[in-house]
Amino acid sequence: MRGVLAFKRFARSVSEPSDQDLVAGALDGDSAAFAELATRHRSRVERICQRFFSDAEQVRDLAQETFIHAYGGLKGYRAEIPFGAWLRAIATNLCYDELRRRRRRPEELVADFSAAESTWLGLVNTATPEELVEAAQERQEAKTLADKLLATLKPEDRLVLTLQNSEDMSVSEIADIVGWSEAKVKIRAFRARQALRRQAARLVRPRKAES
Amino acid sequence: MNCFEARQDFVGFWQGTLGDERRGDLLAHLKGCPKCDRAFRAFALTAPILHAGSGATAESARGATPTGSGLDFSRLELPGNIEGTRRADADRAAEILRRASVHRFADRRPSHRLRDAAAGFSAMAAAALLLYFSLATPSQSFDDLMAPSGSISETAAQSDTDFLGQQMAPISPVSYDIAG
Repeated sequence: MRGVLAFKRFARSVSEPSDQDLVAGALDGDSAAFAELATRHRSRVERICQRFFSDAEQVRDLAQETFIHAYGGLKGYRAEIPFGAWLRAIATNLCYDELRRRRRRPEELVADFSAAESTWLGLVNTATPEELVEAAQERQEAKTLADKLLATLKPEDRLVLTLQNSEDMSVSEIADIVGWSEAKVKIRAFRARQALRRQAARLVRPRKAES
Repeated sequence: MNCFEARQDFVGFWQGTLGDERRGDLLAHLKGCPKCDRAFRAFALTAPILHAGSGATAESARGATPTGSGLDFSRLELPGNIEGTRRADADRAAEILRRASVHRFADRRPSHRLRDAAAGFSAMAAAALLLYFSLATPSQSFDDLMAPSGSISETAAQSDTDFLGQQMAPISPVSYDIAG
């Protein structure tokens, strides 16, 4: 399977122009080249935006804004960085700006739970630790509820946790994209985890020790 | 096992990498310690994000986007805010995206489905009529068709019912033989 994918990638690289070629074309005024770049990277950009926002309309808006920014800043793009990574950085920053613009308040959290999420929450409060581990693997609502908890955090906390865990980015990558120092990223990540666990603890009922 | 050690093992327990003995100790501790039990349940709520496992999900979601080691992000120059992007550039980009159907407004273009369907239906109806008239050649000529097939009185005379559809009495044949 991997071999087939590699072959397809090779065949495409031979038959299709590279991102760098298309960027050069777009800079020369070839609008079709930029359209091809947008088509090529659209789903990837939308996926990044989906990490931060669940609303499809919002995701499309941010993806579009990413390409508009990219077009305006093409002259500043340097070929040593892959075009996809450059777009990802733009999308991340736009999502961060949007997060700062509209921050959810934690009080909204409980009212938002779906029936499945409430069931999962009930299970978290009653099941044994072994059952919990097993159930979490199978239940999509475990992820959606965790996403809702994440949405209650401060924008910078949410940003750093999303990039670190969902996008699997290193501290230095996050620092470069967001423009923070590495120390700040580390501290922010630590505090964000604590804040997330505090929010989760609010949903867990205290119990008495078993004798 | 104390509380600190127990909490250190949450991740290993969640990911199934803890040894049997350590795992047993942790479960025993959670049974007897309400604070750690609560902390573990809170951990379970956040684990799908923070400790998703091997990272395969993140990797697959990331697709082929090249990231990580080897990238020199120090030279990364991002375009400024949207306000900083020249309006002409933004409009031009939006137009290109629209043409490439990437722009969200592409979804809002008026649909011509109904119009196309109506045109298709009309064409098919016209073709069907043409086919009918060309294949179903009448066996009679126009003059034959227009020729009277008989007068109303003749038709009525051949029928057993009157014009209201009621049965008429049989008419006895009339002899025109004056002499007889």
